[in-house]
Amino acid sequence: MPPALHDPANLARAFAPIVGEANLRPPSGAELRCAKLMVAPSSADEIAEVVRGCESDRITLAPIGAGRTLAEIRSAPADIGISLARMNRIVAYEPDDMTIVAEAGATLAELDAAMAAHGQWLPIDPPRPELTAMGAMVAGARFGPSRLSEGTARDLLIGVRFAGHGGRLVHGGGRVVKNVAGYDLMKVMTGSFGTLGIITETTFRVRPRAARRLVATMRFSDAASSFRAARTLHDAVPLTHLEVASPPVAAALGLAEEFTLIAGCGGSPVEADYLRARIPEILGANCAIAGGAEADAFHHRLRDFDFAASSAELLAATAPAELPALLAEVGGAWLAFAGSGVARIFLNLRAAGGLDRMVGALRTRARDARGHVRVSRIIPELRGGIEIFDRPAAPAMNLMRRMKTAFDPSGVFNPGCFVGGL
Amino acid sequence: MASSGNSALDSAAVAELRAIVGDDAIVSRPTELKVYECDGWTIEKSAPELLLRPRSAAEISAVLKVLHRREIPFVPRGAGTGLSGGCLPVGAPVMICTSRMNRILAIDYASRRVEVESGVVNLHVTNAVRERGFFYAPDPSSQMACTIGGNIAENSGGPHTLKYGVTTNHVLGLEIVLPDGEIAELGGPAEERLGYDLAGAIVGAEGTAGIVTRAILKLTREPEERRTLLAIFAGVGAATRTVSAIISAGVIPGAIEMMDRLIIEAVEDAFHAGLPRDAGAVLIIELDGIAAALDAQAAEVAELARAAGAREVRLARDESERAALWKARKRAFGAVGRLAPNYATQDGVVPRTRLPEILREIAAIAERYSLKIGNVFHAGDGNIHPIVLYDERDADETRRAIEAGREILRACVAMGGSLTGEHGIGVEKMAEMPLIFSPDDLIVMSELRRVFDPEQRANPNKVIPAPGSCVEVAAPRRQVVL
Amino acid sequence: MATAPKSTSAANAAPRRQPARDIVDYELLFDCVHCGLCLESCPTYVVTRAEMDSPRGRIYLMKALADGAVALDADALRHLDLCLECRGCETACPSGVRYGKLIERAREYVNRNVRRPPLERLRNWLIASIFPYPERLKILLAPLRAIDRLGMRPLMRRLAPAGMRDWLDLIPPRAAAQPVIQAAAPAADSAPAAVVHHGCVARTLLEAENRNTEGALAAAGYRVVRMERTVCCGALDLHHGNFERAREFARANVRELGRHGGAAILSAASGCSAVLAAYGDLLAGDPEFAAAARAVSAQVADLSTLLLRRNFNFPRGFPAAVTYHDSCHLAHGLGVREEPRRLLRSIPGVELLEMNESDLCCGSAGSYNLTEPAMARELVRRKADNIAATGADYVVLGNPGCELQIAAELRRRGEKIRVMHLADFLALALSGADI
Repeated sequence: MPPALHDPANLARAFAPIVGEANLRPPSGAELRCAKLMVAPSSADEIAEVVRGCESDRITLAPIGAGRTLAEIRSAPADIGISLARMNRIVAYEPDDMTIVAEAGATLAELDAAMAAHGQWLPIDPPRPELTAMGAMVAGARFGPSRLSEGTARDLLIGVRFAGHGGRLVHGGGRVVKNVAGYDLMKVMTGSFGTLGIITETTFRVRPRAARRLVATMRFSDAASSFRAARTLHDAVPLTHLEVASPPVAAALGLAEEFTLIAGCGGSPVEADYLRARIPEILGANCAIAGGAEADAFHHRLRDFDFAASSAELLAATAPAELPALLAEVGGAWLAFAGSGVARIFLNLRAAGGLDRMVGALRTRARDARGHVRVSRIIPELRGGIEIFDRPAAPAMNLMRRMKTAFDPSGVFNPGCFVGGL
Repeated sequence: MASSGNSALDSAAVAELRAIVGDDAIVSRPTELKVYECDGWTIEKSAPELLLRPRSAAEISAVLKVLHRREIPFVPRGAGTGLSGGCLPVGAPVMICTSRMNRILAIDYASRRVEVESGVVNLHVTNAVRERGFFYAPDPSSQMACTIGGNIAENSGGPHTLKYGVTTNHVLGLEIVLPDGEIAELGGPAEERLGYDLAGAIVGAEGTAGIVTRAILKLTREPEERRTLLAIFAGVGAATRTVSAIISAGVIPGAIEMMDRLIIEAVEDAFHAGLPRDAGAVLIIELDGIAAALDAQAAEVAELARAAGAREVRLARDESERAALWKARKRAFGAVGRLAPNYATQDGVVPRTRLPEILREIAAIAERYSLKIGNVFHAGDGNIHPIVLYDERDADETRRAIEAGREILRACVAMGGSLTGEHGIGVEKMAEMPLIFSPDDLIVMSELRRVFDPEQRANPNKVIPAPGSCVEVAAPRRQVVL
Repeated sequence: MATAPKSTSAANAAPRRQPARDIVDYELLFDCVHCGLCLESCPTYVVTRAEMDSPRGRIYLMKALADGAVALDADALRHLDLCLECRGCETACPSGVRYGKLIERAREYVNRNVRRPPLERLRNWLIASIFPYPERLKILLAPLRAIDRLGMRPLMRRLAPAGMRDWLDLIPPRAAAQPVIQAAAPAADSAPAAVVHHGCVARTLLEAENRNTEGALAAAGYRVVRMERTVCCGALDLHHGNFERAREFARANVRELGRHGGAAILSAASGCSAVLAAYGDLLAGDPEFAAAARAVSAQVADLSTLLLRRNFNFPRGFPAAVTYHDSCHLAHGLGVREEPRRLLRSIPGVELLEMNESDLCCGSAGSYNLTEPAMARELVRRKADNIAATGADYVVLGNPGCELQIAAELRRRGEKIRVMHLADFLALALSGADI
């Protein structure tokens, strides 16, 4: 099919025989920026057939959960969006083995609901679990505050299935928590942003949910002291998450408008009691500690935090010790995951040139600290030609090009929006 | 059949390599090379034609450029403690050993990072940071000798990975010399990856991507305290039920290790650790975390063990008792060396709840093949290590040992498990790969490998069976020394 | 793949492979399962990082030699020669490989089958003819003492050929008088007895440690029995595979020590103690001496253990920063590690600072520092670095060979750290004298 024919009507004619007319629809909302036509297969086999169709006709395709990630990073819509909404089954949950297998369209909220009765959860807490589909969470490497203690999708994903080049249905890993047979395709797919194939099924190891959760907060007059206190606390007691919020972010979280250290911890009732007594000994008496429903509510606020007033959000990553210096360049609004060396930076620049300069300056600074900066959200008016991802050094970039070519020789999988234009 | 490529390793090539690494880093005489003909997997042996012992990534890069130009395959080696023949040369005339690259380059306590050369010994990392209250979490039983580079190649685990994760969870960045000699820096001290997680793809690739020369690792904070329990059972069934009971109760111990009677007797003979010789199985359960909560947790675990049938649960009273238990556990493999001239340690995985079943199956296999098989393993992970005893001077027994090992693996797979939890595929298990991976899976894995090594000259004939080969003929056959 | 299970037992299998060369006790080789856990415990591997210089590698070579798979060529010889016989690998080995026995036998085989170059033969002959005989050593050292009195040692060192300098350095300059432990009163006849075998080198160069070992035992309430006719323990011969002369020495010592009944037996040189403890093995095939040798070996103890048994007290404090070096045959041979440390910690004021690699050989290893000076030098440098890093003022140890070796290196560096035998340090601490 020549590119001229890649209009929604022609695309619909091509894919209706595979998924059925009823499972084609025009994109809506965020999807509009991801794809021209939404195709909703019901199985991995259907996805494989769609992939084969796309490859033979050079139709680009993008896997879509809630459409949030790709809406931010695509500069133009792909030809078709593969909606995984119909592939949302929990395939297997083995509480005693502490593993769960779910199709790529199942949401984090659905998984956690299924596991709640057994006191377990998948300890990844990105914003809005009800919108977070497993495939998107893995491919978009979405994370939340709990990465400090539990790691991210790359640490918890123990098996993956995806539809790749030629419609091959491929799997890596398995259903056991420890497994080194074969190459680690889970790592390959995590954070690949749909550029190597379409994830159809994910298997995770899960964890017991802590009986009690505590959140400690403490105000500081400057960022440096908050980071110092964060490190002291981190070295002293086991924490589940650890943040420093700049004054505007603290205010938006419902706290006083000052630099604020936020530390989560928890465990058994005995552990919680101990921590409740111990943390003020370390931080000083003027730290506030919440527990119970209040702590849960605050954790949700923190998890779902979105600084709506900003025009762009950046994700900066460095070694944890380098992060304060990087954030000192920013000023303004940021939320730092202090123990992980990751920060969400909220910018409110309205002119494209100013944003470019800011991102460029931060990238230079981050690279000096062997880190990088990604644009994780941007208003459409500013999207322009801005590079969403930082650019890896040449040898790594060459390997990534080879990786892309190896997995996607036809160049149909969500092309043109990943690192180096892959 | 892959050519060994020996013809290319002529005297001119050796001279070129010698000029790069110097006389003292080149080993070419057969008596010396003999020592490098196997690792901890001793069933198969094959000496390299040339061994290089470089000191730096720059030297390795220059070496690989020569090998690339001359189309000579190579095999990397660390301390040679692997258990699947990962560094056995199979059609690779040149071996490159990283044992001299053993500097710890930088420790950043504030970021909890350590940067090391790949030849650094695993335990030396922990030794370097222990005083400041940190440790490097992956702790394979060979940690006193094995290298970080080898751990990266095999994605090594260890007892404490139940709580803390395996090697890949602790590797943030790598420097690798690719088979064409190019040096690539992948990942870095930042946790978030930029672009594809290439470092993640290389961990566990068993040296088939090139030679890792440097790594940035995560450090873990020492827990406040530990409680180490020894639970004693009449048989393995009750022991494995206890494991499930503990995990189901929402307790994640630092480690849960099981030893059966054969192993208990071997370690008692070796170390007199005070294990009961009349027990059918013991569990070593280590809890760690906040001191104030550990006694209650230990009591809970002890109760669970008793409820599942433990006849006795002992708590290590002090550090020396704890050390004695761990010494017994960590050196159990070696202690078994006292029972028979040779042993093959198998490494399979089953879902934790299938442990009772797989242990029954192993006992049945031992019976069928007239072999002694002991079990010492990471019960919390479902990662079993049946130890098959044999005498390499007895050809038939050796053959039976190999067969029994394979049958155990097939049983693991049938129960929804895997071929290897931490030792790697190496040469040992290539033939079994089709049991868990489809031809398409293997094609894609080959593609991934070619991203790093298009000509397949880095540790050739490993991990992925040659296309078209069936289970019987795994790969170009090595000489099996019997 | 054949899956038909066979019910054959090992018993009716093919005949076992037999060794082609009688280089070692063949069966002992099979205790090694090639796990490699010994690598980092081996001083030569730590330095060269080549597996031919590791215990696993050497065992593999011995096996290959026994099987006839490799020739006893210059390479094989080189790597076997380079072994210090420190037995650090025995401590590390989980399989209980008796490496010391293996390498001793291999050396004996080498002695019988390899003709060394003339200079090496001369050197070995000199070592074997002088060191086990203190009188000869004294005569040899007399001129050096004269040179020392004239303060000419530095000049002599400059004039000496490079290869001789390390040898010269080992000989300590005349020491200032050292405190000697005096027992308050002679022990009662009913007190437990102890007999100290005076080592050859200590008798010549470091006599104080023999006297202080006896003094400390007496002070702790032991009845110290004098040994009349002491000959060399046979360590040098044993380690060089000269079993015949080693057995001759052993018989003489067993005869002498056997007369002291149930007395605890020890030497101020832990290297010698370990050999005494091995007499049972060494003379196992000697019908006349086997039982007596076993009895002697069973009585071997070490100084710190004996002192701790009797509540050895320090009336005065002795403030000092001390680090402890594990002499190989005390730690790896006799398994004594904690006791000397406990004894040191029991001295009020002593701060015990652990050095890195405290049980890695210093390179002395009998006469190793004379036969393999380059490796010995490398190891003592490493030891001195580790010692210096502790910031201690004293290095305490239990073997005169280590003492000479480490002291020489520290002197070369101009370090002020004092190297002392445990017995001498106890004497110093008891005297309360400050340096």
